[in-house]
Amino acid sequence: MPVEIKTTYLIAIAIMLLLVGFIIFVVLLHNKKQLLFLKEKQLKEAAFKNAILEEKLLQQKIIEAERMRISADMHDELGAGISAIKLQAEFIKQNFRDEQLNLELNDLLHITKDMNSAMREMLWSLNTENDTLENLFLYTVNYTESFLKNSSIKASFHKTLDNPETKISATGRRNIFLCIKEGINNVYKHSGAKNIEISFLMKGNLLTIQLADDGIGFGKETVTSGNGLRSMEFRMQTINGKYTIDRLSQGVRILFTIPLS
Amino acid sequence: MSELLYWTYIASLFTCTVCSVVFTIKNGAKQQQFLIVYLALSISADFFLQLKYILGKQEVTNVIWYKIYIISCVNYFTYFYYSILTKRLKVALLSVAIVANSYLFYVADFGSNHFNAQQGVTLAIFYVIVALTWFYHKLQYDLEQRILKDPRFWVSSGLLIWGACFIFRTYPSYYFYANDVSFHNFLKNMMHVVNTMLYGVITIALWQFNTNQNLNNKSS
Repeated sequence: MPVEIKTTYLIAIAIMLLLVGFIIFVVLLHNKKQLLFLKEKQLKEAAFKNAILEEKLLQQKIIEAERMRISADMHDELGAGISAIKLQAEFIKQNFRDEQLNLELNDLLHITKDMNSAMREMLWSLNTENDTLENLFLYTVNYTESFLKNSSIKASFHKTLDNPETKISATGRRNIFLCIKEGINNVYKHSGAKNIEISFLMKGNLLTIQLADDGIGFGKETVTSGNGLRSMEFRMQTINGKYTIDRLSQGVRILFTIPLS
Repeated sequence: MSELLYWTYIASLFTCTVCSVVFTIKNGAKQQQFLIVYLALSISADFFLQLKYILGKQEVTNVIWYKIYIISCVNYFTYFYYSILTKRLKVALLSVAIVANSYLFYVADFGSNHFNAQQGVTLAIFYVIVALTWFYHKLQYDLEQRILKDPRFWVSSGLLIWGACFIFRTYPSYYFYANDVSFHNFLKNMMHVVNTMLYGVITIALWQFNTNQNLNNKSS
């Protein structure tokens, strides 16, 4: 066989080896490019998630600003209006000595007092600075002390909070507070208790609030149709929480369990 | 030795075809890009090539079938790669396929019982071009899937090696047959090995098509 042909076949073998090398090179190159591509993809996904979070944060800030504006407007407009009605009623009461009129004016003053108190609660729930668990506890203490000021019931408070700065939404805060308020009101109206103990316990993502009194007691099975209890149930459902009422050896214990997100 | 290599090649072709039939029954022919059609064509090409030996009649004409087989292969692999390529590469692939088909018909001479080596070379060059086109496409545009998990990687590697070997096997075939029979036989044996490898990698590609289908079924 001529040398030229043999050389040609040696070249052919070399080309074969080159092709095998080429395939290996392609595999390695593809793997490298794929790694870069996947990293780039992850970065893009992270950037996209960040953009969504920023958007949410912006919306949250807008909502907070709006809440603050409503809060300020309510305080300035409604608060001033209620105070003016109250002053006007007191002025009339001082200047007119009619007994029937005084009775009506006392009712009016009572209504303005309730309205004032309701407005304060609304302002409290609207104010974004109050969106913490610690603040909810302090507000509950203030309210209870003020509410039971003229009664014979003594209130004591306990808290064990993993993180007192845990955020609670305005809706959550308002629903929890109104449940506590209803509970305290029931103790005041029906229990004949001497003491009430309010405890806040936060463990992990679970908040437990306990209201225990030493009154005459009632069981849930005996008091099921009251508006107050239905309202409590509804409010707890709204925030994915639950509540239980237990009869103690002396008194009643109401337990609210709320998951914190 | 030559016989053993030949029957090894035939065995690999049959194994590959059986796998293809099983996966066609299981997942359908489209899922494996109708590789079953290509394998059926390959088996029939070999069958017709062997027919004269089986019948013991040297005058049986079988080259025409081989010519048809080569043209079918060009068109089959155009289909096999066409759907996954980008628009520009599709145009390039179609252009190459049209040129290859035109040339194959031009040199075919279906009336003659003589196999024109240019046909074999055209097919080999076509294989090399489509395989390289696919590699380029994979590196540039498809980085989602791992290359070794892509069935077309195995088919393309097989075609690339086969194409390069076949050029050196087929072009000087008649010359060697006349001048150096032992070297001619050596090349023939080498081609059996390469063919065995080709059907081996096509079997891997079939498995990969099946694995990908199973993963798709799971994720959906």
